[in-house]
Amino acid sequence: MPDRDTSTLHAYHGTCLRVDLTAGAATALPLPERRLRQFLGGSGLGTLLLLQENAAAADALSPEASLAFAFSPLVGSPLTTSAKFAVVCKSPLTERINDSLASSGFAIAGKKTGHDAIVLTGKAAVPSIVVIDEGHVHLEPAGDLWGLECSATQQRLQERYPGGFEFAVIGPAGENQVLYATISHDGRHAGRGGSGAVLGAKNVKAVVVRGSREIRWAHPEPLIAYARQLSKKSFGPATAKYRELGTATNLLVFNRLKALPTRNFQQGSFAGAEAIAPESLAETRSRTRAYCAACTIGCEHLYSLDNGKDRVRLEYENLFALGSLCDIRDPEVVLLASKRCDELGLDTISTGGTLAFAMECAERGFLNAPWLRFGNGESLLRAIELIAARQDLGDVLALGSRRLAEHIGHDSIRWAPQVKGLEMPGYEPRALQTMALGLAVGARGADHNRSGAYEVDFSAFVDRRQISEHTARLAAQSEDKAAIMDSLILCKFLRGVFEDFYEDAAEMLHLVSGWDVASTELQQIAARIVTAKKLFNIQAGWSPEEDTLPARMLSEPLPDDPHAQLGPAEFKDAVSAYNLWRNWTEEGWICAELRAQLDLDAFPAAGGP
Amino acid sequence: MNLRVEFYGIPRSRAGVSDVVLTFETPETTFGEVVSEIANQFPQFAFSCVLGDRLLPSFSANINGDRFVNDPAMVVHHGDTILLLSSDAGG
Ligand code: SF4
Repeated sequence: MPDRDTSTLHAYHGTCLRVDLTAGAATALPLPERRLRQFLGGSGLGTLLLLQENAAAADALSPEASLAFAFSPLVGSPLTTSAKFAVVCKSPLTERINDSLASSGFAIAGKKTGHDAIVLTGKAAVPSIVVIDEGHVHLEPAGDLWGLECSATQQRLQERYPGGFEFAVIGPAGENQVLYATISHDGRHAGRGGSGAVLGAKNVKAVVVRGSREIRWAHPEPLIAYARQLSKKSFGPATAKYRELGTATNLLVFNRLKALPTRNFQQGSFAGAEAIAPESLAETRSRTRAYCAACTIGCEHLYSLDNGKDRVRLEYENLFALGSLCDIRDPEVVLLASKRCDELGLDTISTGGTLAFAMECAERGFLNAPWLRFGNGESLLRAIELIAARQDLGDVLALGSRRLAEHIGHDSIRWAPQVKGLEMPGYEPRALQTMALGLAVGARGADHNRSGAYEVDFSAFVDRRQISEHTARLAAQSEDKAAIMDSLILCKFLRGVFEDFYEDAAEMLHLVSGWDVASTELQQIAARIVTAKKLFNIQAGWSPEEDTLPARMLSEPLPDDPHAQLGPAEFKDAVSAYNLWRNWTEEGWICAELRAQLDLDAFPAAGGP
Repeated sequence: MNLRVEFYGIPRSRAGVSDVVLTFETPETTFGEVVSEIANQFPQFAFSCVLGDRLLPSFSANINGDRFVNDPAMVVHHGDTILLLSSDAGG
């Protein structure tokens, strides 16, 4: 398509702000309409920007590394759950592409600076705050903030920058370059893959944004009417679980289906499940509900600690990673551990996964840490502090389970709970086998956000404990849908309200941008985004052997459910079928014709056949 | 015949109980009849989760922790346990 003058664009500004931290200089770079339509925003746009930056070639923690905050066409619109942004970078944990999403006023203020994305590269000479005010950029010293935890940092910034600023900050874990450190804002986190460590390596304690550039919508009146309808649907049965109970209510269901990872994936059910389940917590603790910016669902449920004062956000992933995975049965410990991870800026899934793995290694006598044991709440809390400070054993725990396995030896990589170095979320692959494939092939590593294939496993379409001829297609289709949701960006918890997701997505995009986009074009956009991420990984050194699960999961049935078993040969066949479904080679390489077809031929596929 | 029904998530909060045992006069019955019987016993559950003899699409049923079911004609047997839960398993 011919590129229009960016001043005539709707829903976009048509520029990206590139900040060189070494030089202390910023440049606004044009984003052609053709590329915006091909990648939409968020996760897709961030991937495009990283490919353009040739970021795969740089060490993730080097000054040459780039990190993008990518907004999206829906940000600032009245559509519920649209105040989201993506942080996209090369992960220091996986050395592959990493995109983590979060919601807050940062998305709205960031887009109002007049840019669709902000790319940081280089390294500040001293700990700094990057201030972007109405598109003007400068660095301010952050020495007085260095060492502060996330909410204290945010509070100090609010005092220092009153009047419409929004903040993205790192905690001590990011400063110390823990490889799974988060970026925090308003208590929400861009959590997975270590984007906080990337900011820490750049000496950036916080990014502060403010702007007043209005965003023009192509069809404002119908957009408001559509948004009203969507909000109304968001109060219906499809989101009731999130509104009334929160994600943590998964725990008892997963436990009943023996799909709840327990004791470092050694079991699929947990004797302490009732004790830490939100249904029990609600009987003894006060509970409040919170919302991300611009959300009508409000899935966040906060529970009081024993002191009666502090409240902790409890989500399924915290509960499984810091509860069943480490065999912690005391709800107060799980809540405290979640709170400490949030304050220190640690990804709860990677923290719990790394610690559960370390606990198993210590139990087997391969790791000299007699204090670190399954079920010991004190040791969990102690280890979290050591990780963030990178003290003693914490220094190697800060590297994640894959590198810890390399450090320990004894073939312990077989039971390190990771794919491509990213710790696994709370979905036992042997019990949920469409999801198992989604976890293995995910560009980001073991990932429940970019693949929602568990949805299929929780349906009558498949036998969840059996890989079938449909598994590859279903896993790919789930990933495609997520690619659109993560690029538009809408919250995944809204997905149940759409009867035909692609039709609705096309309608929303039309209303904000004016583009007449058919469902088929959106499906091609999804294929492009997924393939672009794979291309990044190939440039970063991907090899086919990475698309698998930990060896233990492919060689042993789940002890508490012998029907839950995966075989290495059939699993490899499913990965091949997935690759072929994507029009990649059977091994997963991308041929020149496909790159040309998807308009990705500007980006070479280094390596491969 | 006896069947056990376990409620999770929204179905549990609407039914107000975590489980119930149902008795039928016949040696076997259908999933649709089970849904109708539960709807009779738990009006709040019926209001939020049921349409006729089917669960609304936001809710799912699983038999014995094995298969998910949505066909009202499916036969269930004495001793089966039916789990009723929210369909969306996003975390
Ligand atoms: S549903 Fe939950 S995660 Fe999604 S936008 Fe709303 S509060 Fe945030």
